[in-house]
Amino acid sequence: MAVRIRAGRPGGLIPLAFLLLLTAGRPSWAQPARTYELLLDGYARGGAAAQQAVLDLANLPQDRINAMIAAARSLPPERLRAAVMLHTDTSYALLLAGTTGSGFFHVGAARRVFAMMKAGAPGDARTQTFERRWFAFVASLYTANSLFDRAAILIRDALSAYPREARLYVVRGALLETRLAFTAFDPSSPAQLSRRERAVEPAAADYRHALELDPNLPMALLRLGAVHMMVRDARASRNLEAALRASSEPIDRYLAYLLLGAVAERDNRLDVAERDYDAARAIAAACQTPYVALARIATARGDDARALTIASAFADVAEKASDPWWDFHLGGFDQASLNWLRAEARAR
Amino acid sequence: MIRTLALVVSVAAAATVTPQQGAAPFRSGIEIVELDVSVTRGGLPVQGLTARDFELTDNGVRQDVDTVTMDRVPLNVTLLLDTSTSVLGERLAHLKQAGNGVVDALTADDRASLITFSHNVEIAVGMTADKEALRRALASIKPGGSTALRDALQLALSLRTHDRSRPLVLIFTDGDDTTSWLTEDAILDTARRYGVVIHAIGWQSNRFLERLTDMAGGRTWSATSDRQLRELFTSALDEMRARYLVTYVPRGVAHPGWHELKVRLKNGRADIIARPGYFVAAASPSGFSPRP
Repeated sequence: MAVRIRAGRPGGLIPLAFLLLLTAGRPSWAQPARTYELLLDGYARGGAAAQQAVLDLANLPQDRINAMIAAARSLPPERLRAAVMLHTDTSYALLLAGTTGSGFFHVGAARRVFAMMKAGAPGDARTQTFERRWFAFVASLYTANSLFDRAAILIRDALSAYPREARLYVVRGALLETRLAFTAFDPSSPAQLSRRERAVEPAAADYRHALELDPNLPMALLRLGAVHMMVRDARASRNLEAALRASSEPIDRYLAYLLLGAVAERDNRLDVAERDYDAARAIAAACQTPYVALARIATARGDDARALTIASAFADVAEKASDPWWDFHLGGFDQASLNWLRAEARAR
Repeated sequence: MIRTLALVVSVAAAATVTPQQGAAPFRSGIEIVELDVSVTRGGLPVQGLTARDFELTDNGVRQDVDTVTMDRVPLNVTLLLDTSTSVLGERLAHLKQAGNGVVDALTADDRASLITFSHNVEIAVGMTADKEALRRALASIKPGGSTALRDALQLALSLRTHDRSRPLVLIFTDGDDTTSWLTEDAILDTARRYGVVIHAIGWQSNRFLERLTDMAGGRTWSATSDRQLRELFTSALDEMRARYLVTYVPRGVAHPGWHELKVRLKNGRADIIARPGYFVAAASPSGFSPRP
């Protein structure tokens, strides 16, 4: 069954929020505790109310926000989880808008809220799960925004607290890969291939370690498969097929089929590559990459008519979707964790 | 997320002989190869040449040139414009003006299409003679995002239809490719297999674009300011119109595969730009890029 993927960065909440940032005036706020509660109410409701809460928070002066957080110590855990994600979504919007300093401030605010949560309920398992996932998401957000040093510091902090969290090793490997992605590389050159193999080995080691901790973590399998493919390691297909078995999530399966297609294409098994790219297109018919890959296969076969048919089908897609490949390639923005964190922030 | 590094393009015109890879049309069992050949001396087109003036080899075997024409065949121009974040602001205005300059320069028989790309590829207008549709599409360009030139070029070449026109792709880009699925080698192979002249316009030297345009018998044009874009776009179009369309029926050369072509003038020196060869598929299910 075809599934419509809604992946990629700006989800519905954020783009509107940061557009509004440009035009909104600053509301006047009176009591910090009451103000914070109103913002958290709005965020917890989701939709337009959440957008407004992000907008309002982004426009508040930092000293006022500090006062609000200080006044939040008595809030119950579910309200504090909402507070963490309100600050996180606000940071996300501000980073997208290019105001990194304010974005960092709100990440710091979220960490102060975490400190309050942990002080109020030491060792609480739900809080720890929430925090582990939050670290992984924010590290991916920094990486995807090319804030590599910030990402590295955050991952270091996170691993000191949660050394057995598999996702953190995945984002650390993705950070290294993303840094490498912007250096020129010719896979047909044996010398360059050898250098690249050495350069990506720490990332591959991180993915392998993640899989030791969680053998069925799809993103670790996908990333390890992609690294193996890049360095022409025969284990690539095994990793990617394992990702297919491990996940029923459309985004994971879409990426697995694309990458399996690439492995087959590299090995000149064009029939297999075409089948895999078609499987990716069946999952996400509004995404661009399967059309590009299939048109290229047709061209390689000298079948211009087929290439034209595929490209025309792409041109006819009325509403194109954000392609998960872009985020996978450019830092591994962790949309799945963001979705999970938002849902958790709105749960009782 | 999405980044764009500044980049551009420069070029050096090829000195001797490297023809373009070409379409190898099949018509009633007769194969005709067509080549767009630029012949200049001192930067100016050399005019008045005939079939007798050209010497051409296909895989090292000398061929008889059948016809040589200039500016009689309509153009099919694909404008492939980078609309990533890096063109925000004044550059976008100049880019639109440059696109409109190309539209203004089209003759009644010419056609054009507009494809824009950031990480997204948008087929803004398919191949058409409707200049107003092209102008409207240019006016409505909204920039933003990263750069996927290679993927955009694959789709643009795949959309090529086969008719009696001379296909030309005009690329504008000012950023390194950050988001494409396809590798450089893959898109260079695609360019080898299509009989399309590709010109690229940008700001600074870019090894990939130079390889691409060399492979496709075109040029890279380096701008020194945004204001120069319109002039360079129309220069590229003029250069295409000033090319000779050289045709021959290959004799004594084996198919399929890559056919290396070399073209030169029998008498006199000149700068010649053309594709370095053409590709014939082994068992093409749909024939090989014919230009009937």
